[in-house]
Amino acid sequence: MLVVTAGAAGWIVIQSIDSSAYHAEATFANTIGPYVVVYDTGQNQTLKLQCLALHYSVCTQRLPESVVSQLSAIHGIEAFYPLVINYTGYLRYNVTEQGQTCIGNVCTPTNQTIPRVITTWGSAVLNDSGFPTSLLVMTSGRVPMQGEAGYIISSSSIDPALNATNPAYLNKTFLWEFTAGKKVNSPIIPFNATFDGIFAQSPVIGGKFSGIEVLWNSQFLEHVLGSTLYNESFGGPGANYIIIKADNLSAIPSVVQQVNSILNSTGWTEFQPRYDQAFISSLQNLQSSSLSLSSLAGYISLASGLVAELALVYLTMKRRGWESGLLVSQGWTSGSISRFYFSYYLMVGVISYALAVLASLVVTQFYTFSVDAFGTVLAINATPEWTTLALAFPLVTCISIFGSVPILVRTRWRRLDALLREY
Amino acid sequence: MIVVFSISLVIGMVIPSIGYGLQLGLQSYMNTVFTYVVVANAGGCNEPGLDYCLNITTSLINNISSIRDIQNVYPVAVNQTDIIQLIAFNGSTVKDYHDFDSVVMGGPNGLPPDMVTTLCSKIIGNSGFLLDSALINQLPPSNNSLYTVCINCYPTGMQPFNASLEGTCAESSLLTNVDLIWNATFLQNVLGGESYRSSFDNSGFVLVKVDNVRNVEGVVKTLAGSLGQFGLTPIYDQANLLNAQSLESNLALPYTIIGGAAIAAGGLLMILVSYISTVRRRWESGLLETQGWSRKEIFRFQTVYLLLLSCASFTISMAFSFVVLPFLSTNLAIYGQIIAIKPSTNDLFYLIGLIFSVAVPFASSFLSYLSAGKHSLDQTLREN
Repeated sequence: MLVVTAGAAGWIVIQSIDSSAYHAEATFANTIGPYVVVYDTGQNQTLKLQCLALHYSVCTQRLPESVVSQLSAIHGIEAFYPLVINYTGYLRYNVTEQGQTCIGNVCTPTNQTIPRVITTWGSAVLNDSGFPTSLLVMTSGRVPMQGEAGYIISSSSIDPALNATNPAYLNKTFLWEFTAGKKVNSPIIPFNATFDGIFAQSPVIGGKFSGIEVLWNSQFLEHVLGSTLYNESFGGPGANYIIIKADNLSAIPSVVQQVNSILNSTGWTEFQPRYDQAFISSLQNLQSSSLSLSSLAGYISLASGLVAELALVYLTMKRRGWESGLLVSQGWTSGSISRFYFSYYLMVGVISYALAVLASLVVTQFYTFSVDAFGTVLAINATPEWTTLALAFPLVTCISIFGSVPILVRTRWRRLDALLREY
Repeated sequence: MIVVFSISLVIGMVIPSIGYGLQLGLQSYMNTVFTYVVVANAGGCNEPGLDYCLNITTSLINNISSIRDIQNVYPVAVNQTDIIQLIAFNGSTVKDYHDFDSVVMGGPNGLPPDMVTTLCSKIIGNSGFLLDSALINQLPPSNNSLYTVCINCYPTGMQPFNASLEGTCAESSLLTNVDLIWNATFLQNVLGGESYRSSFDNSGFVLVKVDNVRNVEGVVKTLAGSLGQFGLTPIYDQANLLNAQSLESNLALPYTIIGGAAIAAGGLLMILVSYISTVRRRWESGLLETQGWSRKEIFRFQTVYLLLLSCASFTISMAFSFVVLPFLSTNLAIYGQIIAIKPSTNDLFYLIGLIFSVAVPFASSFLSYLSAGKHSLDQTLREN
């Protein structure tokens, strides 16, 4: 009974942990992988050149609310985050920069003072209708609190003015002047803000020309800009940057196809869905390869348990052949003997199964771990699946057939004295 | 008994090998996928029509190569390919140019061919190009996928030539903003050596392969520190690198538990079977005692007998794992590298198997030895 219990419990526990490890990988892949971002990819060269020439309104054109609404209704989407990316600028006066003055081929270094320099960054706000905090992976510092005059930057930003990785700039208060997305006639709203931390660069924060470099606290920005300007710049209807989370990795091609179809039919072809197809494919390959090996561990433990059970029953039965002879000598029929042994081994099997289930439930209770993915903690435990528990029952109770059938055959085929002589 | 011993040892050696193999497979996957860093200009150089600045000089590339923990550096030249569409306009034919940022595969400033093979639907032949799969709708209408193209049309006025679309490539963060890939040999033949060199001489970005996922953050920090002054920034999927590191460190536990549980189950099975066997054959030692054997001699005899069985089982299970495990392998092709996901035998597992093979016979014989001391000879013999 102990051996059968140990074998069954071992298989259930190994199968459950193995399955949980595989599911952890799958859940992880489906948490970090199925993101598609829709933005103006700069395919329109004229618009892109205008954008590079700092005509911000060109860079920040939005998809109208009707298109956003259609996109949000796409089949196979788990989450939909429409954002507005706009520019915030850091205004400096009388900046001295090193340049050179050339006469013919002879150049000499000179310092020049520029009276007004604006450095701009693609920015978004952090709130329920802005960039989702669930997708933030902070590498240092913290997220600005509600209403706090703070900002966080992407680790990919190397702008010297934002060079928060340089200790000289840490916790330094800057004077910000807001350009409200327009180069010409833009209102200048000066305010102070403090660097709070750095978030990890990631595909969901966008590409080179349409990415998010700075994230602001929305309440703070609304407070300093006023509702009208805030809505014109970071709120209001429409979106110029959309993060879509598909249901799972395999749903991505269908989602992308639907997005393309909507954008093409509405004439917004500058906007395109982008995702890391190669990465998704590698995640899917990893999952399928791991699955085959993971399943193998389960099959091997199952097969080993069964063979061990068979061998054990054989060992037990071989040395107890005389018992059936004794029962025959007492007038038992072969049918009643086989029923007796069937019931005996069935009882052993059922008790072993109950003990094995109990043992595995107790053991797996202590087994739990978690994985961080985009700030979400995925708790993984190894509670045995119903299918595993259900499958274990016939496997364990088949000991009754393994044990009783050979005894019945031996009782029928061997003479009574031969059976009794085995004692 | 040999069968049960062999099975127990196989459980104790093969299943931990599978768990260990899965763990190593995940590590290899991470060391392949998350160890690429793209170094490119942060923007602002305003090259006409290009998403990249062509200002990564050889000395900068040498600087990058000299950084510790970098395995490979691939400078990639970028240029503009125009696909020409002839459009009828007011009774005459005008040319419409469709711009694509293009790179070459192979050659000194080209993408590694293995990487292109993995990312794209086919290997580039000698007559065409591969296109980013997201841009397929932006190609003008064509006759059998044959297009008239020119490289760097505007500044140099290079002559157009014909080329066909041969396949598409997966979008990848490694090739951000790369639209089209040429075969270097093909372009050299079409453009001529001098024109080719002038078109694909300057690097637009550099692919940096770090040796190990744990060194990525350090390399990125060094790159940012040393190249920031030149307007270059290291771009990588930092969020997913951190996510994957969390997965790897947390999955180590279940794989270790699977191995530990299998070893424990195998060991327990061996001990129980040996015990049952010893208990049910106690009369044999009584019989030997009647023939004048001392208890120490019986103990030695039983130990040697069980040792022979367990050594034979150990050999069988070793042979099984050596023969069977190599067949349990699957390969992943990622970014031009082949990652094998397979059971990985570890000397420790064999050592544990050997320890079980030696310890269990001793333990069983010792139990039998102790048990014989508690029973008189007639009791022992009566147990038959």
